[in-house]
Amino acid sequence: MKLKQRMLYISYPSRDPAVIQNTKQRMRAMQKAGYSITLMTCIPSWQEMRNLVYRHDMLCLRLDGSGLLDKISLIKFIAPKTRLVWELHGFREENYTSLAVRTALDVLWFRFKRFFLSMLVDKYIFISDALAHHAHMLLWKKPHVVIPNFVDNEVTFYASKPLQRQTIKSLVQSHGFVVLWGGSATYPWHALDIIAKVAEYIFRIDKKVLFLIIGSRPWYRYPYQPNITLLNTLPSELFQSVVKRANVCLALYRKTKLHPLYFSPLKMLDYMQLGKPTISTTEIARHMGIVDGVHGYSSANNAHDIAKKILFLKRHPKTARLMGKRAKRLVQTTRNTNQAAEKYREFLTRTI
Amino acid sequence: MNCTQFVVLTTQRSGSALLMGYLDNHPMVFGYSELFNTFGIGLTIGKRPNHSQIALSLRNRFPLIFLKYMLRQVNKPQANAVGFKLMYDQLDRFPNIISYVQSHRVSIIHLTRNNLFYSYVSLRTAQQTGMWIGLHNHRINKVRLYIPISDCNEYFNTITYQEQHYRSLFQNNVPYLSVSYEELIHSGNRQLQKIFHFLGVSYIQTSSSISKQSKEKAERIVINYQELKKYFFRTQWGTFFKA
Repeated sequence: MKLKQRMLYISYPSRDPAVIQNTKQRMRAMQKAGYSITLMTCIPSWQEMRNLVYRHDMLCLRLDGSGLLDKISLIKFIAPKTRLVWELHGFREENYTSLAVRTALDVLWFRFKRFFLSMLVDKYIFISDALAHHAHMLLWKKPHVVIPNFVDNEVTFYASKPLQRQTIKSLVQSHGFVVLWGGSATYPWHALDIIAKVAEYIFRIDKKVLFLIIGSRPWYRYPYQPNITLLNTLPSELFQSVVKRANVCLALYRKTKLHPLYFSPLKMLDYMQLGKPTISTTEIARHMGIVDGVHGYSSANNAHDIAKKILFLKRHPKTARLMGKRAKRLVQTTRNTNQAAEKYREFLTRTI
Repeated sequence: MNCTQFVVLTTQRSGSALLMGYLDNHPMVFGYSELFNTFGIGLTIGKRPNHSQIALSLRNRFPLIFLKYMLRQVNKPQANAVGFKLMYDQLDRFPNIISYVQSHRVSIIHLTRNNLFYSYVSLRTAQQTGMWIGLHNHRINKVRLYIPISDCNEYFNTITYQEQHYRSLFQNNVPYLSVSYEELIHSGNRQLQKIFHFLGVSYIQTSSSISKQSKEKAERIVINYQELKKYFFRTQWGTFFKA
């Protein structure tokens, strides 16, 4: 019997439920691809790292814009036979909107370190084509693959019923039409200011549309708006029950001068999997394979345009439901664990 | 000028801005905001801190020189007492201040909030809205919070430990007055009389431009209030949750 390849998968430490959930999803996909995975979600000491690396055939690092785990790649000097894979989720520049001198120096230093360390890497996994394209000149040339985020059809989250009821009750009145935006809200590429404009515009026309914005410590300070409710990050199961109650979901993100929209938003997958009509930024809609007006709406982040689309969906609930159903079908057929597992298997066995 | 130096020692969301507002409105008291805030130097009550990087790095490098300098820069000619707000975590980061307080016998007004749950809800609300100080004409967006039990427990333990630690450190060594937020809200004038007397200035009725930020009850703001209440029932924190 052929022994399973052992992989050490190290993820950056995060308390964001979406990141934790996505890490587990990717781990499950790799397990399906035939790997025996040891997951670590903390930064190990060098001693610990050395011992672990000798017990595994491969090391996969999940890297984001913080760059916390990049330096672990230096383990190649101690264990040169270890096969090292980077799973890239972002770069430092995503934390900034403009290039002040300090920012520029920080970004340059980060890029230099990552470029240098990328020489030690065997393969890259990117989460989107845009990210792979962005990284083109920033990393040493190595084989790579794009494996976008995906949904886990087999796992369903259930919040306890009383808590679910209590949550929904305290958030929205029964008659309210709920528009939801969810995310970490901490980064300037989360288009929170546009949502505030949309809310302001809609309030003049329809006072029953409520905007629920989920995310801890938002970077944007909202002006007072009676139809906006701010909610901090929720555990996955509770988040899903709030999504279920929502009528329309927004997936609005913004390009900054420093990077394209190279993200593969996890919340968008939740919205689509739960059959909700979604209005998303054009680039994100393209990334998800959404056809405008079929699986949801896309917009160039124009507040008036988004407001009109929300009001249209409010007036046409049947169309909204149909869009949601199509979106669900789309995400379940094109973005599922089996497909991701197949990509992992094909890429990792082909190139290593 | 020989002013009484004082510190309002407290933690975030315990009514320190309100108290400082009252004190600073007294003609014989001069109060700074948070001089040792991580992100800036709080000079004026109710205003945003100064974010100058040069000033910040100088303060971080030479905290005692900075403190002595600031306590000499009093803008009120009649001032008889000068002080600033100091949070427990700031004292943890700048431990030199402890020796300064003890050697100069700086008066400590230890402001605590009996209901730590309300304090935590207020902290999380401020993080959510980005509004740290409530002015009379300010309105804030509606906020709802999900508070994990572990976070709540950690907060209660940390703040209780810090309160006890700093109380035992200062109570018998320097002039020390303990005031609670609840007392300040319910019997403000009596408490202020006590505080002004403690600072050695005559009592006059003062007002504060700072007001309570959110008028909504914590029971409504926290969406898992019942879950928390059930968990903390029969613990020492049970009294924070209404019956």
